[in-house]
Amino acid sequence: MTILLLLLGFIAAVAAGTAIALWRLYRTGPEGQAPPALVSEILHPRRSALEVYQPMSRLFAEDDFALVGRLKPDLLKRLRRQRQHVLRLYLREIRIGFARLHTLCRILAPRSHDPNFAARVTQQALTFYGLFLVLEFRCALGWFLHVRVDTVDLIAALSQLRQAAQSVLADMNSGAALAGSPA
Amino acid sequence: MEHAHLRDLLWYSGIAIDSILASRLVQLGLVGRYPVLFIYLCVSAVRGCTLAFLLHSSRKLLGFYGPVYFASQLVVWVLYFLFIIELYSLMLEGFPGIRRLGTLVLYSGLGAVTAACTILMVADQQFGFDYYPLISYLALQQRSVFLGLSIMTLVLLIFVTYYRVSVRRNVWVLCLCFGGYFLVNALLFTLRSYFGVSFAPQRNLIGSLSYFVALTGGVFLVCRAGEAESRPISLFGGKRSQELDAALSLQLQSFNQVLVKVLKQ
Repeated sequence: MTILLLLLGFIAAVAAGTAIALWRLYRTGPEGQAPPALVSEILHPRRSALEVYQPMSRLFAEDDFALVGRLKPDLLKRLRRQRQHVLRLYLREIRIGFARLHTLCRILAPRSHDPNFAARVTQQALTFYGLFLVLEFRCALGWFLHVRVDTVDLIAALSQLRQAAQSVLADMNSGAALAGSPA
Repeated sequence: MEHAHLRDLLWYSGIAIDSILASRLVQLGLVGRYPVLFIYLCVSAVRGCTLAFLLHSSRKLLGFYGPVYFASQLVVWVLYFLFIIELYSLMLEGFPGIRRLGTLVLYSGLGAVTAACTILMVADQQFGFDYYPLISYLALQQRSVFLGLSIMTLVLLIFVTYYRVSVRRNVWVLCLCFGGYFLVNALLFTLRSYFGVSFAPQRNLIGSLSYFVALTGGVFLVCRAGEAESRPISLFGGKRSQELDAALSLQLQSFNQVLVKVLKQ
């Protein structure tokens, strides 16, 4: 009976998933391209990912804690708490940034001429979210020893995806320009 | 109306609706676009007619009913899976960027589903009472096949939704009709294999009814215009939180104050 109930639950879940996917496909939305300003903001931000997220890797620099510990030991806990909070906010920010970029890549992937682009995007996303989970886990447990290395990897994953999207978009634009040019 | 008569009526209606949908595909000039669906409909109609003939003919011919039923059932299963691949191919035509990944997802999904269904068949040994063990075994096989087909339909739809691909209306309609039919049958065969022969009349009735409804939907909703129309989906689902920047800057200010305080001391 347990297996029967499990199977019925599974079928119900598959039915719900199918209904949601069909509904999402049916729901009409704004057809066409992503707004150019938005694409430009995502692909060519004013500051690079390295500039924006570099401070993350310095949040748990040992020198800062050594200095504070020497001068004012009672502030050490507070400083750690503050920095942990800032790290969380940075992580949220980088996750939102990556999700936007990933969404754009998912829109670009079907229309790109590179058959490996979708696989590359998926791989980058898996790498990013894997690293992100590890960092979140360490953050929750209060292990900040590897934050510096992990954040560098996270930023690198974001930058690589941005570069891949930029090159695919450039290819698509040059293809469109060639198609539109007089023979 | 008696239960058996209603079942027979639905059975013959199923054969009729197979023929009507096949004729509709010919009439709309869509046979070339949906070759597997057309072959399936023809095979299903011929199969239904042959089985009906064998069932109501002489005792000598009745002996062929079982072998013909089992052999043709295998062909129908293969055609169902081919139909899923046809739908996948139609959904991703014109999108070369995700075709390779889609193929990978489709075949790895197929492999995973087959493995899962095999494990389930080996692990799950609870059957209801049946006069013939072969019938019980067939119900179990049907459950696995329809579960697999339902999961494959879901995987296909999730993939297409994930990449925000707009699909043609006819493809969407066929996914709805056949996806629903696969799900209903997965449920019915699950119950059939557990409750045994006592659930057989209900399964036959609801199964035939669901087939009739699914194909009637196809007859009415598949049209020539459906090949040109697509169902686009919105580009960016969520909005970016504007509060985040403010919160981040506030926290950084506070953190700077702590540092300044420490350095002053």
